[in-house]
Amino acid sequence: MTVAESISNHLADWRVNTKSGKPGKLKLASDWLKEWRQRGVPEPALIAFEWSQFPQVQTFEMGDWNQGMTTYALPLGSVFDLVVSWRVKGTKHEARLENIQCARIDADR
Amino acid sequence: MKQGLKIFSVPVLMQIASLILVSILSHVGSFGIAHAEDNAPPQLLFEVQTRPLAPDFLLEDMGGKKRQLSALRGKVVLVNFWATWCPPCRREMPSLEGLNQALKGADFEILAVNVGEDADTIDAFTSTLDTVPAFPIVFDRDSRVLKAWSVMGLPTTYILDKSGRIIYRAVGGREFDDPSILKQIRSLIAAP
Repeated sequence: MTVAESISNHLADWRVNTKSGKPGKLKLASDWLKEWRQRGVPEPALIAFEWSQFPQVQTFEMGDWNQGMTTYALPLGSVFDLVVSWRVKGTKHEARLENIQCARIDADR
Repeated sequence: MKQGLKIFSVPVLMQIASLILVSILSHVGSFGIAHAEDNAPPQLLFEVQTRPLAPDFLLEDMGGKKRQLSALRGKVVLVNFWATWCPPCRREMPSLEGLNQALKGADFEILAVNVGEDADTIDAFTSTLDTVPAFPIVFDRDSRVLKAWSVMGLPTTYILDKSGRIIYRAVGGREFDDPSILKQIRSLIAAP
């Protein structure tokens, strides 16, 4: 017999470990929104941006799922491990996604 | 366009280069990160034990008519929060119309609450569907209703009983015309 338990997720708990050994962090939607507002981005664009991000806090019940964007304050071409964490009945669980490669984009283009 | 160029300046591009699409699928006590297409989610609705009264709203629909949620008391109501830029929202829209057709004539209504877009954008999307949704699409232009309902991500769908209480919630896309969901909604409609 299996019992369905809620999964809670806080993006602020996720960790970034770069290959250089420097810890990095996620840039959360709330951080972006402050920046966009300072730049005078129109409200419809802010709303679309905010809601296209992976939720900062979410509780998943059986059958629930989300997809969305996450961003990392790292230089182009960075390689990092992402330590994803979540809680089930208060117990923290972790999974590591290794060797994530940021795109190398020619910034002059 | 000028605004767009200003937004995506070089430092921002550096951060956007590190952008990842994350999808989380919740099964029975399991956790995964994958492309949504790889793991079709089960067609389940979560039963909200506390059965809170749904926050009321008065929003304009595509034809300019004001729609008030509380005016639908006496009917089972499905409230779907969505946007055209949200891939799972787009995917589930035909199944919402399938559900609408399957329950035609019953004490049942669908209100699709679009977040932050305009009629032209919605028309451009719905015109690509095999069947244009016959249920009302209303505009939550400033996302105030979305926040009042404590929605954390799109799509999120609620099913209300005839007294306006939230009975079921679904976070993430569903096939709403799936027999298991139809059965749950039919039993709510049959309830006094």
